[in-house]
Amino acid sequence: MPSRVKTPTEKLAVTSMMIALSFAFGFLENLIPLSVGIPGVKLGLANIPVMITLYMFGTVYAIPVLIVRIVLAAATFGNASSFVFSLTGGILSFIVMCILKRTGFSITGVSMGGAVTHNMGQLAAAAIVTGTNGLIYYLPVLLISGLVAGAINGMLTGAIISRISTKTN
Amino acid sequence: MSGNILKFKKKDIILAAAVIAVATLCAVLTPLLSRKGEFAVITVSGQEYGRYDLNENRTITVTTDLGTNEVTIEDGKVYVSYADCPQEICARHRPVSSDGESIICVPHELVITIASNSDEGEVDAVTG
Amino acid sequence: MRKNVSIILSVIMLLDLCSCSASLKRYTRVITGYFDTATTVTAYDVSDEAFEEHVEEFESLLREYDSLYSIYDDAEGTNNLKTVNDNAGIAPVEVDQRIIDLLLWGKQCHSITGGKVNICFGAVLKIWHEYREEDANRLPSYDELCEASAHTNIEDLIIDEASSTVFLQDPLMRLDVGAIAKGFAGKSICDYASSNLWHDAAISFGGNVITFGNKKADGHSRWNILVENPDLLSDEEFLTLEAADNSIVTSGDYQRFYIVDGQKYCHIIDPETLYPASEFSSVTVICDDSAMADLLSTWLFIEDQETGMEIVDGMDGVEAIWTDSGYNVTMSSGSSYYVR
Repeated sequence: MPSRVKTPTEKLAVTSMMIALSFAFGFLENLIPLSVGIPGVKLGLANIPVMITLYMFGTVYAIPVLIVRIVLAAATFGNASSFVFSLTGGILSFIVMCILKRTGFSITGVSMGGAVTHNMGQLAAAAIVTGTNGLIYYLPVLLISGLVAGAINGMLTGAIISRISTKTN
Repeated sequence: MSGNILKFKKKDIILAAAVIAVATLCAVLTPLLSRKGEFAVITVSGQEYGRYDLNENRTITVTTDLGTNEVTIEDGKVYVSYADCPQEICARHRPVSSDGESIICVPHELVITIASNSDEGEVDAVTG
Repeated sequence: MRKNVSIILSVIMLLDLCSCSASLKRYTRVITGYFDTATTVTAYDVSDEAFEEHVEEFESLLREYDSLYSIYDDAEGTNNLKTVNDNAGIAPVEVDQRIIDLLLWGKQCHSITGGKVNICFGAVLKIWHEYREEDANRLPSYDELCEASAHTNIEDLIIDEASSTVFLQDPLMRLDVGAIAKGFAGKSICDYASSNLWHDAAISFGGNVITFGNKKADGHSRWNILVENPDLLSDEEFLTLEAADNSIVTSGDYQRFYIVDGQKYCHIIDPETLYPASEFSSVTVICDDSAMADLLSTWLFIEDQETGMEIVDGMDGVEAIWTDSGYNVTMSSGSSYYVR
């Protein structure tokens, strides 16, 4: 299918689908709480559509997927502070993913880097908002959990991309 | 470069290893950095008189124009072992050891406060 | 070169975390010499100088209220409650509006508690005060107490708001605002402090705690308020409550008391029996209003458990924690929200 997606209109349509999918994945994840007693530890399934878009259509199409999803999620389930947290983590991780992608990391590497930075960004935002440095205790756990979740997502995304297109741009 | 995005590369492994290394480093370092240096701070008439490590058993005698208090640190706890104030409320106070707890001798304007370097679970005020 | 990207990124990630610096600093100051107790201020302020300045302003307010509400010492240059007491049966005394306000609240307290908390009980309280100070292992006689209690009718306290005067009609009547003054003054002082001095502070007026704003000045953390262990011999930490914009007041039998024949006699007197209340060793009240919290802690200390629980259940936004003389703890239904 994506090989046939060429015109901007078609790309726009698929991107919109990705936004919806990303939102739905985020919602899905909220339904299955992965409770380990530490805030911020999660799979980050919502990042999969973002990465798919990034790999298929490039940065320009991936940014709206990221931002709109965060705005939608905050408007639906969140509050002001969770919005700030997600946005900080989301933007930071996106920048890192773009850099890693350009510097020739595999999709798993990109995903891992993105997930880890996402967690760091959230932690940094939380540290600023609460004015404490006690949160640093969470750092090792969030680093490792980000790495694992990122690896899983990366492999999933890779598998999805290879199935929906033989050739990516 | 397209096509091989799926292939796990050496630099991916370096990235993962770096993250794991940083995580390990943090896990090892944070407990060291936030070591609780708990101590007792004695103030007289609003002026700091001295601060004393709770891990060190000792007796501090504070004598001022207002009177004498003997402060004892024992097994990480602090109490007033002797006071020549009228009602000796401070000497009847149970030993304190938690962050932010204090013993106050009103007539002698003497305050013993437990302090530490972290303020997370610190007591902000005492009722009773 | 590219291989180093991952390492550089890791460093950047770590730097992210270092950007958290708060501009407010935490300060604590103990002020002695007022309300016969120590006042502890813990507040967040921008600088040492600012805190010094604010604490000075705070202390001057504390000084004013203390001298106005004192029944033991004359106030310099103005009439206070001692002046009112000294002029009992003689003449109305012109007083500061803050005294009028306190006494009007005192009258309200009398009607709320059905006379259990009575600011006109000074004659009886004075007897107990003297015996306690003397600490001579003896109790006042019942006749002596009964005689004094004949001079405790709140109707004999005449407050003339129009002319700002107070008069004790009964020459033997004495005001004693010990049960309500700290809470009332604390409320007024903190109302001022919260809008003029600090945004975030936890202030203890000798155990009457008032909090406003948040711990760490972060907009959401609650303050940790330690409830003193009423068992003076115990080493254990008793209970820590979490508060934000609440007042927490404890009445206890363990601070001002004396012992006669092995029996403890505390400073809170039941107006009905004329003897110290002995059911509890401490009662802690949590509510938004410090004047109300102060009143309730005394009232509940006098009433039995069942009546007390009914009182608390019948009020909105009030919780209480009772510790009986055997140190068994009973909590009102909503207290758990505050217990850490």
